[in-house]
Amino acid sequence: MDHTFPVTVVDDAGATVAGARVCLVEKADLGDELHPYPSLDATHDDAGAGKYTEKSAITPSEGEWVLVVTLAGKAPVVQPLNVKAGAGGAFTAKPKPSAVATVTITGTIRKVGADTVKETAFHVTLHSAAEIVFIAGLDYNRTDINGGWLFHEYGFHRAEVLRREKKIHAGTIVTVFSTAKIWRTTRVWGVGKWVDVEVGQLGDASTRVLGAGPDSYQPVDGLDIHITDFYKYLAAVGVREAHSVKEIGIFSHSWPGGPILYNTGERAAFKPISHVRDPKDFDARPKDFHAANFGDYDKMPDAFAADCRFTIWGCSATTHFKFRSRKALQAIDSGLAEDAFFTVRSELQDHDPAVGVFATEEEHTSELRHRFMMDRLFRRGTYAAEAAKKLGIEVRAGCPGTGSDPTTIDGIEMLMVDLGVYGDVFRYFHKKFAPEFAETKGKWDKGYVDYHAIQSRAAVAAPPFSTEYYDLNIRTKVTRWQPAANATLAFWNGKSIDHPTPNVHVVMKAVADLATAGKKGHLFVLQDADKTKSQAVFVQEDEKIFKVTQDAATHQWTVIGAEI
Amino acid sequence: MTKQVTIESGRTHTFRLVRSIVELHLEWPVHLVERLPDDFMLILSGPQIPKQEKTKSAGSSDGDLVRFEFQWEDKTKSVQLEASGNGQKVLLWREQVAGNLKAELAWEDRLHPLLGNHAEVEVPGQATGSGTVPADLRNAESDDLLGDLV
Repeated sequence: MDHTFPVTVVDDAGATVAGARVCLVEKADLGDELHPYPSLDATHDDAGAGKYTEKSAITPSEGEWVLVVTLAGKAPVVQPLNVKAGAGGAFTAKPKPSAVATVTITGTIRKVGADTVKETAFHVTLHSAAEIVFIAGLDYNRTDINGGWLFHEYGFHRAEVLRREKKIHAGTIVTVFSTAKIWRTTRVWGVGKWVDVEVGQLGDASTRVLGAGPDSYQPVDGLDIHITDFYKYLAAVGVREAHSVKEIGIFSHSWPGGPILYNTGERAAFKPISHVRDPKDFDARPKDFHAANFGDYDKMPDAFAADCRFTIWGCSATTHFKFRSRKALQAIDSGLAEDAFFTVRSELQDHDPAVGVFATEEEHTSELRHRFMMDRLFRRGTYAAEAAKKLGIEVRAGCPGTGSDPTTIDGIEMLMVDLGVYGDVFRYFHKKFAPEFAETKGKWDKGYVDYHAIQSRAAVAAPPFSTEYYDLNIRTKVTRWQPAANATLAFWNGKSIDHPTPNVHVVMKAVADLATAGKKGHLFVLQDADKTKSQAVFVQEDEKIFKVTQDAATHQWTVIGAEI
Repeated sequence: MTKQVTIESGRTHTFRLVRSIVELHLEWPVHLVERLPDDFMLILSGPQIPKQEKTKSAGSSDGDLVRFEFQWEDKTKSVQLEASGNGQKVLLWREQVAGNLKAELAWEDRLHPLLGNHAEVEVPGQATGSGTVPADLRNAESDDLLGDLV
């Protein structure tokens, strides 16, 4: 039996489309190349009027086939097919796993006497180029990181949200990287459901050598997905189909310093003192947007549509920032001057009850100083700030101090910031950073603010030095990530003193003429439970800081020592 | 059709020439046929060919595809194929000699103008196995963020 496979290509308005690349091939012919198979040769010629006919006869065979139709400026159409032989030698091509929304198939069998021909005609609708791209971290707080909390599902959930809200069209490509499963899945809308047109296995998760316990897996170069693989994919899209990406996002645990894909961290030599990435670090870093690293994926911005949005869906949950925002709000509400001081205390508690509270912080500060520090975090240093600055697009993340939690609404679980729990934090930011500070309030999208918009505000000027400011951080116990229990007392000019034990509290007292005649300042005594370990410093109004020891006779902290 | 031929055998024979039968099977996916109007009709017609009409329910289904079957005599005759429903008529084939198997079919249009909108569906999400979200991750490095990183 003779078979023909004509293809008709139209756009979403029904107009015929010329110049498309039309390929109908066995899946094996795709080789190692992934969607949208840029090296694949066309099997069809443009016959005009939207009709594409085979360059040479295509002989069907049983197995997996794929129809690929691409055209610059249009979203690629890929329809995987299962071809089966039927009665009389007629082959039937059925969509597998199911039909995509942009392709319909008409089979026409004509039989005269003993002769039969079959035409399998594809009708393809090309929509404007559009893609959304997400990457997901893994559940590093477990030994078997192949399973657990599957963050990549949020990427698919986000696509469904955008579809329900009619913010993406039926041809939109949904690309999701899963670090847990080591795949890149390409999904499109089908007939009443989503269709995975490709699951590109980038590595074999079964070959992973798992760690001995939670948070111990070390990702492997060449096996695991690196954050820069995400950037490089976007850079490739930027070259292949500029301005087509409508949204990107990262679903994972996170901190202000960036999304945590594996919790690899950086070794000391690569910490922020260096712009160089630690080769063993697979997580997202603010330095990813520094010129030293950005060259590897500098076409990434070309991929973005003008209204592209980048969302960091994980937490920005620094407890101390949350408490400080609340105190700052109270200061405003009670009519305090903007640089009037108050004290903020917070505890850091691990989710593992066996660890419990592992650090405390006590800070003497003001609303103005809090505002200045928050403004800095919106502008630089944090992952969202650096991304917004470099990419020049809407970059949304939780504001400092807010966490995002899994929340299910109408069958869709998403990570969202609880606007009620963090109500006071948002009230503070509205008072001091509006209107640019405007958190999302969608049904499945709550509490994320646009760092790029906030960066358009005038910067908050640095408050002057104050001897009254201090920040006491006490590391109360040794943990996996905290090698020693001790304390640090820091001042507004960045100077600090270390204290060898965590059993300490600070006493501050205004004094004058202690070090320099006519100069005022504050005496800070770090009173240790072991009095022999107590120490003191004098912070003078001219920013000089002196060691102070006790007078042998009076036991008062009055003996000025060396300047630090 | 009959024709008399005289053969010099002394006897008269009568031959019956039966023009070839053309069978036509049209297949569409079930999901597409479901979007056609309830009064959908496929109409095959042509000169000297009895008009044939197939309703939506006349198609046979294997679960994936719905098949509509037509047949007529004489492979040389041209046929016209139309689809109608919901007050609309779409010309699919105009004067196609479909019995000529060497000739490609020329479709004027497809069924798309007759298709109704897809039903609104809400696809539920998959379970994520979500756990607790710890605060203060990588807290020890937070101070670095206020440094001159970039």
